Amino acid sequence: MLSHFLYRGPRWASVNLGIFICMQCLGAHRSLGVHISKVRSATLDTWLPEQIAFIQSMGNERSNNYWEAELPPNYDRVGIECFIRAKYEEKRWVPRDGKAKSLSRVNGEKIPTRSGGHGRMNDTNHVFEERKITCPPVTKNSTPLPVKASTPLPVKASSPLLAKVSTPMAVKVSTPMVVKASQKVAHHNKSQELMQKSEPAAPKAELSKKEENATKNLTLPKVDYATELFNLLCMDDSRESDSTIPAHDKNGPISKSSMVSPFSVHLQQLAKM
Amino acid sequence: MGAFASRFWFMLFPANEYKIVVVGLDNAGKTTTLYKLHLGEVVTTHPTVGSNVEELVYKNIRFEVWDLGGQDRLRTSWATYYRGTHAVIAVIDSTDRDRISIMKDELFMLLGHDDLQHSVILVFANKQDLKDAMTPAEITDALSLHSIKNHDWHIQACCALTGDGLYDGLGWIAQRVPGKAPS
Repeated sequence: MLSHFLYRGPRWASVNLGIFICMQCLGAHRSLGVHISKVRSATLDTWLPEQIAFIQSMGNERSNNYWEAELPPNYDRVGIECFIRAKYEEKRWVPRDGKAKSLSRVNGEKIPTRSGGHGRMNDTNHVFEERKITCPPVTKNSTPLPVKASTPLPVKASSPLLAKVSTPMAVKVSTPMVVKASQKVAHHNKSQELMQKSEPAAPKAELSKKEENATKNLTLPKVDYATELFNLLCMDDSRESDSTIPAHDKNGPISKSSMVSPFSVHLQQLAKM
Repeated sequence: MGAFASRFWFMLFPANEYKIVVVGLDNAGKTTTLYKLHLGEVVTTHPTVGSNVEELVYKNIRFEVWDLGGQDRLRTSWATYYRGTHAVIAVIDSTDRDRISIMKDELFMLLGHDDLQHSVILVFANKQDLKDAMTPAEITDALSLHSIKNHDWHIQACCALTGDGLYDGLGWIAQRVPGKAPS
């Protein structure tokens, strides 16, 4: 299963923010300047051990807890580049009161306006980012306009989501992981079961149904491994949210040479899950 | 004095088209520079894995411009593009102070390459629009450009997003190749 990762091409990350970045957000991150985001390839660049350690300890989810702490629910993220600039350059949504918020946030749905799938949200959310990283193979011939809508409550999700169903957009629902995972499954492989061993979730089923509807318009290529990836990531995510990975810092690749690829680190991380 | 050797070389062996390779660390602005020159507009770029090549015509001189990927492991393949190169453009992110020394190492490595012994070197001090940008003088020092003895070199401040300075740099190259351009 993990071998799929190895053939997915370059992965990208911001070594000073400690996050992985999808291809859609990559351009925006690169344009921020190195004083804000130092973008490196996980496969083409050499990372310093401390950079690997940092991205292990940070990760997208924790990073988002900080950078999007004050992000209003239902924020309309039109234009991913503007959003990323506001997020990291203007620091518009960093915590004002000095404490990070809980993981469960209600994110606004977003209708991207840029071409070529640039509309995906930047989010540094771990799961979401990973999903986006897998975009190239997935979106090759589909999902020109992905939409992300997220909510912890299925009820809330239903109306906005349904509204989108008729349009050729990919709908993404993210929040706590269950929902994310189920959505992804539906998203990438509608024929696949609405997995999710790990989660309770009435919302899940409901949401994924809608997602399925949405995906009918998408002509998504089948990507079984994407589903597997998402499963892994969900577990990855849940674990991170619980404990912020103390173990990784110690027995991680820090002990390895500086040539260790962060990509392999990520694989290790996933494998442990 | 050795700096004139390359000009002399070009006079002996004029070409119909001059080959330029654009090198630099990742995210320095190589692709943006290329397409700003080629299309006159700023394109949304992704990291170049491999290379881009475009033909430019400037002052009636045709240039074949190769833009090479700048990531660590892609730099090792730069040398495969060197053969027949008349000019090297090294694009520097003027705000990236942490890695200027890496670029210096890369620069001196390429200067020693056999295929580039007759090439001229143009350094673009890119991103001058950003407030923390190093000046061309600072970059000259950081790259030890004055220690280059056997290549003709020039540093040009520029901003690839606006195009400022790009044609000044290309004009410098044009003056150093024989043919239609005034030299």
